Amino acid sequence: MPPLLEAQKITKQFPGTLALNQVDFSLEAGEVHALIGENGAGKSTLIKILAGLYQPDSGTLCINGQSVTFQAPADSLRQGIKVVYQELDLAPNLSVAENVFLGATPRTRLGTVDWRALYNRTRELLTELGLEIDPRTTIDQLRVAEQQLVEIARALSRQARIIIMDEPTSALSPSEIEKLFGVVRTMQARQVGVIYVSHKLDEIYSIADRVTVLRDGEHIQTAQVSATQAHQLVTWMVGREIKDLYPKTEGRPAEVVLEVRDLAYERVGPLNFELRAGEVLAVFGLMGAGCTRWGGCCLATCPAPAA
Amino acid sequence: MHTLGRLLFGDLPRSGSVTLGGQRLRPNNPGDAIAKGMGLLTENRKLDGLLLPLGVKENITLAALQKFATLTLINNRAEAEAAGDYVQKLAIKTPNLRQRIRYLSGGNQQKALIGRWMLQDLRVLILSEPTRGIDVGSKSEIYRLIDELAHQGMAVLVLSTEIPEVLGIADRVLVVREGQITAEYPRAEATQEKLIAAAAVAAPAQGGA
Amino acid sequence: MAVRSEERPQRRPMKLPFWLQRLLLSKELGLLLLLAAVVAFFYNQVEAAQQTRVYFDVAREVSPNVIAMIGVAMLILAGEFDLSVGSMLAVSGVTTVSVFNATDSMYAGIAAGLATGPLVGSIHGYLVTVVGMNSLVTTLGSMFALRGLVYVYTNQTPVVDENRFRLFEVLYHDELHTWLCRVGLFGEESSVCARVVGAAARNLPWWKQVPLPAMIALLLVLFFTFIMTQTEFGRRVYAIGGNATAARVSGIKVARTKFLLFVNSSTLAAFAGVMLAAQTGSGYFDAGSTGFELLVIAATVLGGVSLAGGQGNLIGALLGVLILGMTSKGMRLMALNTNYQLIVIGVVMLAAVFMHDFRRRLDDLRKRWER
Repeated sequence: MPPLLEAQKITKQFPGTLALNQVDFSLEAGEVHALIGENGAGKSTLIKILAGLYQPDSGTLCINGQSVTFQAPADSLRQGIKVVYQELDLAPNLSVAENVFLGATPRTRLGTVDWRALYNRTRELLTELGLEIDPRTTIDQLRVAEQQLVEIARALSRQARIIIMDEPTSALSPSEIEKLFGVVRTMQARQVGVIYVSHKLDEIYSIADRVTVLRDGEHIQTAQVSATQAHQLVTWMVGREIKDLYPKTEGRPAEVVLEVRDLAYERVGPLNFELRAGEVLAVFGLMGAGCTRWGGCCLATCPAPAA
Repeated sequence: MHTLGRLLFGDLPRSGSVTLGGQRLRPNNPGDAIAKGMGLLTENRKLDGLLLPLGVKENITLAALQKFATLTLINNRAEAEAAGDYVQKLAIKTPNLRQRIRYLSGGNQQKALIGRWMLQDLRVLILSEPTRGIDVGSKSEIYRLIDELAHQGMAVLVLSTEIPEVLGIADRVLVVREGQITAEYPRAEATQEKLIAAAAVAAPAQGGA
Repeated sequence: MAVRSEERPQRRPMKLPFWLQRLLLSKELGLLLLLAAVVAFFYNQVEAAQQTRVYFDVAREVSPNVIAMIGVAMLILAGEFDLSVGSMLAVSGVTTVSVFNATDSMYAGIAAGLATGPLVGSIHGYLVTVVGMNSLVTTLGSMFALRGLVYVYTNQTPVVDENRFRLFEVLYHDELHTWLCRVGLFGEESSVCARVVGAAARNLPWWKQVPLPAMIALLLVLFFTFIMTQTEFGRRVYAIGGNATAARVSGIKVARTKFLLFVNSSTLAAFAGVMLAAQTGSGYFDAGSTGFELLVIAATVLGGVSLAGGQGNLIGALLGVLILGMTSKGMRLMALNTNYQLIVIGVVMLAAVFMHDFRRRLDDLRKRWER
């Protein structure tokens, strides 16, 4: 049987960079396939190609062995591919039910919205996923985790066969992550294929079957998660040479100029550090990890809400 | 903008203290941070940094305007000379100082923004993603600039999500994950593996397989 | 202003001197030509438009618009709006004349009328910069509320100046020359000063016909142009309009600057209102009610001030007011139905904005070509 999704030799060139170079990727029904790599490795380009937002320069996409081309996101949706982005595309002022059935609202014979059917069908769907959310609640009253689950419910209501989750846990607490994983396992049982993009290796170990590592637009390795050590994954992810770009000369850090004590803001900190005159201090963090549009900011290096 | 940069700079409400050269910075007051010698290069040039409708000169002198003003009157000649100096010093490619900054390339825009802070007598410069979205040539110029500034005794804080950049320019690296500092490495000990591990591997449950 | 050649590194030499290029490419020159075209058109079409006094009349009539425009344009340059200036005309006019009648003091009345400006302006400034309300909605609200307040207070009847303060009415009607005589600043008390206000001055040489309100408006435009181009404050306004976040992280006190701009806008509108009250010697409840604020914004945009903020200047906006004022005056001279006037003004505006866009596209093209 052919795989649910098969991408072969996908190449995408942007002005100045080769975002994807002959990348292969496949997904089986009922499989959770993790996609990992550093910032700029090509993960988001691949996702956008699968979502129909970008067209590859070359390479083929097959779904159940049938060759497909996506000219627009609508084509991808029609093939049952649904991307759950970090920035959710839900209408915050509408109810859960309205969002789930947005664009496919059940109608009465008079052509008006059949509210009873709308709420009942949404409730069924949510129960099936083990969620206790009132379909009448408006989205903006939900926590980010719940919003994400509503997004998944919406995908399932449209008979999605492939769900792509882009850093889904970045804004979630451990218990919420467990709930999300529960839903992912339900989807697995329903033979939905899940592409799981993440920075967090521990999550990959708890949920994924296979893992594919990208680096600088190249496909590095695809392996069974259970047969791979964590340090092996890290080695695949990095291993790039630092070129002559950096004219670094040894500095002689002098007296302390900046002193930071117990600096805190929302979920950041408390942070303590010092900075010396003549010193270059870098603060490194992974992009995307822990940022949400609604301002909950978990990582000290991520965008906060516009003031 | 990176939260940490804005926090230190006083552009977000904060608790705790930030002390620069023995003086405590007032919270919620970027002007105070600037007056005491701190500068912040924001990472989104177009959104947080550039005055797109204005000229190269106005963009460079924005934060140091009072230097060219006596009793609120701007000394245009002095301002143009200072801006012109930095256009030359940083090799900013522009036909003239009146050119709208909108028409410059990303790298040149970024150099103009760095020039904005070099015009100040800074002791601490915070650079948030200093090379995001600019060409390799400008990148290496900016790295050279950072190195120079440090040699002149400035304390430089670089907030970055680019590993090669961090390893290439830093004397010391702090790794941050979910708002907490998870590791600190001096230059000699920092490696890509260590940084990734400290930034990516979660604390709550290590593995599950 | 001379531009030193070393300010343009790595450029091939250009044929025209830089200042001349700038002048030829400037928006203001285009607007000036447009104004000249409008004048030429009416000069040919209407006999009445061949008299000098017509142009002085236009200058007098648009003076309140010009004065109110200054404040509005400065706010727009900072990326904010003030829709309440039309209602402010009525508020300050009615206040002025009411206080005349209550105190029998001209100076108290004028002071009270002007004081409505800072009062209303501070409320706008507070609501926008401290509470964080949107300026468009805030000033739209106060546009209605202030108008209603005036209606309730006056019961929709004009408040007439019972003292008929002569020195007040001449604020609108005098010529600069006459007025300077009148207040004893210009030679001794001469026969000119004894003349009837306005109309009789028309046989005088043109330089004695310059209307006082127009001179005031012009001086204000020049003063605020100076503020906007030569001072730190002006630069801050442009910076805030160009990018408020960038301005904030460069240490500019954005809220304080905007607050001052709201006060400035309302105060200038209040002054325009005092001047309008001087025209009729009464506080008129409907002063500025026929879309005054929108006309002012229209003229400002016509004058090349970007609604996005940070771009444009007061001289351009002044030309915008003059073009609209001249068009309107010319059509009145042609005895065109007022309804047609609206259409023509609308078309002139659209044409001008199209022209600006066209210029910008041309500009972009030029940039690409220069590269």
